[in-house]
Order: sequence, then structure tokens, then C-alpha cells
Amino acid sequence: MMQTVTRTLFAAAMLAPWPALAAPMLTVTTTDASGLQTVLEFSSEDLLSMQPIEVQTDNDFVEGETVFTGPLLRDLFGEISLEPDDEIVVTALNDYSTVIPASEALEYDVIVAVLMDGEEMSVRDKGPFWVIYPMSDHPELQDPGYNDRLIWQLSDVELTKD
Amino acid sequence: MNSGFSALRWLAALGLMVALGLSAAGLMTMRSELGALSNTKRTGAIWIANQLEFELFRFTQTVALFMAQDPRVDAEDVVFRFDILWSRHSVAEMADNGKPVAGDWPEAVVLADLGEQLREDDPLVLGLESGDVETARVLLTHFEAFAAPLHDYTLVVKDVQAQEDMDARQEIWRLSKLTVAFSAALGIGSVLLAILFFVDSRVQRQISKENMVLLKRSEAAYTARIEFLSTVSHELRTPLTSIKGVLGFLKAGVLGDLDSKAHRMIQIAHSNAVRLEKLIDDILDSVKAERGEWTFDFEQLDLVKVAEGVVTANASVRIDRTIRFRNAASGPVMVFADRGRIEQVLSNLISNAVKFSESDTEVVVTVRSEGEHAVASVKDSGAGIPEAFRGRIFEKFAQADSSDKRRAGGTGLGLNIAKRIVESHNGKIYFESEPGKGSIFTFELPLLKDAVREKQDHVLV
Repeated sequence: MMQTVTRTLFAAAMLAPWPALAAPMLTVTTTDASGLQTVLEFSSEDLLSMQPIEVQTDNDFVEGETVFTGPLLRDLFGEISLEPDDEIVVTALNDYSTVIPASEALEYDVIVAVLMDGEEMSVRDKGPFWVIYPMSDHPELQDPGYNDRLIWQLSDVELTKD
Repeated sequence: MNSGFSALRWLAALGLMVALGLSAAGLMTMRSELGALSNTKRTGAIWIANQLEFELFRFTQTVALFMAQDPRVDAEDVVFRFDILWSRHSVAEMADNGKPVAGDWPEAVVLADLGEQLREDDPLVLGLESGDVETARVLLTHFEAFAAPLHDYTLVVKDVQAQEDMDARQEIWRLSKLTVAFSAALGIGSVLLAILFFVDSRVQRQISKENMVLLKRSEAAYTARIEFLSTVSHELRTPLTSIKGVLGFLKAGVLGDLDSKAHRMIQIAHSNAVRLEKLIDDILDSVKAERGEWTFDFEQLDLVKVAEGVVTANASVRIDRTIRFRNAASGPVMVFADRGRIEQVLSNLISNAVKFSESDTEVVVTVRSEGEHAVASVKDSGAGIPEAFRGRIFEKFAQADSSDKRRAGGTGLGLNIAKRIVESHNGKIYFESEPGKGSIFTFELPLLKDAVREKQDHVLV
């Protein structure tokens, strides 16, 4: 697995205001209770090697049932286990940011989609990564409020444990 | 008046249901309008237009930095911002169910123009090399020109969205006013219904009060009738006893010999006095039963012997009828009963059978035990009981033929008294009858079983 693991101080994450673009990467930052920060970077290949699952669903941004492939959001944090009260901050390429309650990632098969209908997604088409909820399988997720969680052009995932 | 109230009550209840339904429908509609309003918060048209304008600004800013050869920006950054701008343009073009928001407005043409420009300059952006300031300048010129028209488009979108929001708010206001009106109607309807129920309950109370008065009056009238019957019967019985006594003496020749004609007259007079006494006794007995004054002297009896005795005693009533006793039981048929009363039942049934059967026929009294019952029946070969009379044969003063020309006499109390006696013994009485062939009257009493009999013996000892 091509994982680059770096352990730095919190300030180090503030470097590089312009993202590196050679290959789309997903940055997963975890801060444990003692303040130790772990930054993991995943390429598309890395994510697809992490037991990806397929979610077939409809949502407000696609036409009809679409198959999304990618790892479960709850599996991105390595040895750190998610608690239902945790909050996951997800950020898009354009710096838009929102919060996903960990309880939802634990209860539903929320994935970080890498493939849409078997194809990688370009930045021009909501790629490279897209948070997908299995909305078709769970009617309660079809509430419009969940549209805010389907963050596209995902670039950063951050979990801070108290 | 009562039906009017009822109709009003139903009307008020119906009105309440309608108002409730309309309020619910209003609230549901309002909920969906509010949902639509809240959805415009982020993914709405204004957000999309702002995003597009913002990303155009960031793209042109990146191109400008590239032209100035800022070390933080290279060709890949330009491509990245170009891609983001492309994605925002795609979203804006599809925003309103596959169409741009405010697509009919002239300002919306900027979206089509921008799309064309993006596709046209795509090769330039992808082919951009580090330090290619000239190409960057061309790109900057092309895309800076969209800043103003895109801003105008954003303003139009804001106007359109504001109008839609205003419409939605007005709709919500209208619905909330309607809901308030329906709620008021609900309140008024409830009060009206409560008043109707109150008035109705007062009316019902009045009616039940009047009914109570009527019931008391009718009870008083009934008691007075019973008292009258009792008094008259007593008053008739006293002189009758002395008349019967005198006639008895005359008939027995105690007061001197009579010639045969006079003797026959006296015999007729005496037997009628006896009959009259029996009728008056029946009336007094019935009055007693009515007042609950009957007393019973229960003892163990063999129904076979009791019936046999009654048959013997009645054998001389009418010489032209044969009264025959048939013992259908294998041994004694024991019952726990009042001897006198059971004899009265049998006598009444036999007397009826004799009364309603023709000369030279037979009346058969049978006793048997059947399961847990002692059964006694009296069969005649008379005319049978008319169909119309069968339903009320056990009622007081019931007579099949109550006209003056009736053939048989009697008060019509015999069967009623028999029924009361049998039921007081936890038994039942019934009849079968075939017109022209005769009738069978049967009564059943609980059979005194060995175990019970032993227990009773023990108690009696």
C-alpha cells in the first residue's frame, strides 16, 4: 500500500496553500487526545486497495441509479476507532467545508467514492473523490438535509479526538 | 325537537372533521413550502451563481499570478483552477432540473458564452507551459471579460430567487391565515357541539323524569287493581262458604228429604258453588303469588305416588271421562317439592284436560324419570290448542275463547298458577298439541338423586 505517513506538529499542516496536483490525493488528518497529529495521504490506487465496496444509489446530483466504488469513510482512520460522538470535518478543493457526524459513518455504509460507474472522476465532474451516502437503500437519508453531506471534489478529511 | 338536535349535532361533528382535515392539509402544504425554502439555503441558485463567480475570480487571479511568474503558481495550478471553474459552470448549467436558473433572462446568455469559451480555451490551458506568459495573457483577456456579465447574471438569479422566496413566504402566510381560520372554526364547532350535548342531556333528563312519574303511576294503578281483586274475592268467598254449606246440608238430606227434582236442582247448585269457590281460590292464590306471599313446604316426595293420589281424587270429577294413570318409571321418582303445590299443578292440568276433551275419551297421566329430571305429563284427546293461542297460553286470564258462548268455564288462571309453581321448583312446563288429536302438557322437576337424597335424609334426621 502506497501510504505516506508523516507525523508532524499541527502547524505543519498549514503549509502549502496551493495544493499539489500531480495526482489527486486525499489527505486524512487525525489528532488524538494527546494532541499528536497523524497525516495520511491516499492516492486513488491507495483508496481502491482498501477493500472498496460498491454503493448503488441515486442522489440530487446524478441522473438515476449510479454505482459508486470506494472505501468506507469509517475505515480511513487506521487504528483510531471512531466514537459515535466524534465529528469528521470534510473539506473540498474549493475550501468548502462541512461536518459529518461519526454516528452516520458508523451506522450507514458512507463511502469515499473513487469511481463512478467504474470510471475515475475528474475535477471537472465532481472528482476526484466524492462522499456518498447509500440514499436509495435508506429512505431516511433522502431528506434534503443530507445533500450537504455529499461533498464533492473532496480533498481533506479531519478527525480530532477530545 | 330531539331529531333536530341530533341532526345539528351530526352537522357540527361533520364541520369539525372538515375543519380538522383542512387544517391538517394546510399544515402539510406549509411544511413542504418551508422545506423548499430551507433547501434554497445552500444548494440553491444563488449559492451556485456565487460559486461560479467566485471560481472565475480565482481562475483569473491564478492566471494573473502565473503571468507575473509568481513562484507559488505553475501551469498545473492554472489547470486545476480551470477544472474547478469548469465543474462550477457544469453545475450552474444544470441547476434547475437540467436548465440554468433564470434561463429565460437575457443575462443568462453568459452561461452559454462561458461554456463555449471554456471548451475553446481547453487546449490552451492543457498545453500551457511554464513561463508561457503570452498564452496566459490571452486566457486572462478571454475570461476577465466574463466578470461583469457573470455578476449581472448573479444579480438576476438573486432577484428571481428573492421573488420565489417572497412567493413562498406569501403562500406560507396565506396558509397560516387559513389554518388560523380553520382552527377558530374548530374551536367554535367544539363549543357548539358542547352546547348541543348539554341541551340534549337536559332534555333527556326531563324525559326520564316524566317516564319515572308515568312508571310510578302505572305501578300504583297495578297495586290498586290487585288490592281490588283481593278485596272482592274475599268479600265473595265469605257468603259463598255459607251458601255452599247450606246447599251441602240440603243435598245430604240433613234438612229433610227433598223430592227427586228438587234434589237434582240442589245438586247442580252445590256443584256450581264448589266450582265458584275454586275460581275464587284461584284468584286469591294468584294475587298472593303476585305479592310474593307464596310459601312452600318442601319435602322429599315420590312423584309417582303423588300423581297416583291426584288421579284417584279426580276420578269422580266427570263420570263420562276416564282418567288413567300410567307409571312409566321403574321405581320411585323422587323430587324435593311442596306436596300441596305439586298436587295443585297436576289437578289443574287434569282439570283442563277433562274440560277440553270430548265424552268417552281418556285422560292419561304419566310419570317417568328422564336423565336428571322427574317428568309428569297429562295427555288428552281433545280438540287441541288453536295456533293463535299457543303463545299466551300460560299468561294470566288467558282463554282461547273468551266470548260469552264459550263451552268451558274458568278464570284462565290455572295454567299461569301451574307455571309459577313449577318455576318456583326450578322446573319447566311446556306442551305439545295437534289440532283435532289432543294435547300433552308436561312439567319437569329436578330429580332428587341418591347422593342428594342421602344428604337430605341426613339433614332431615
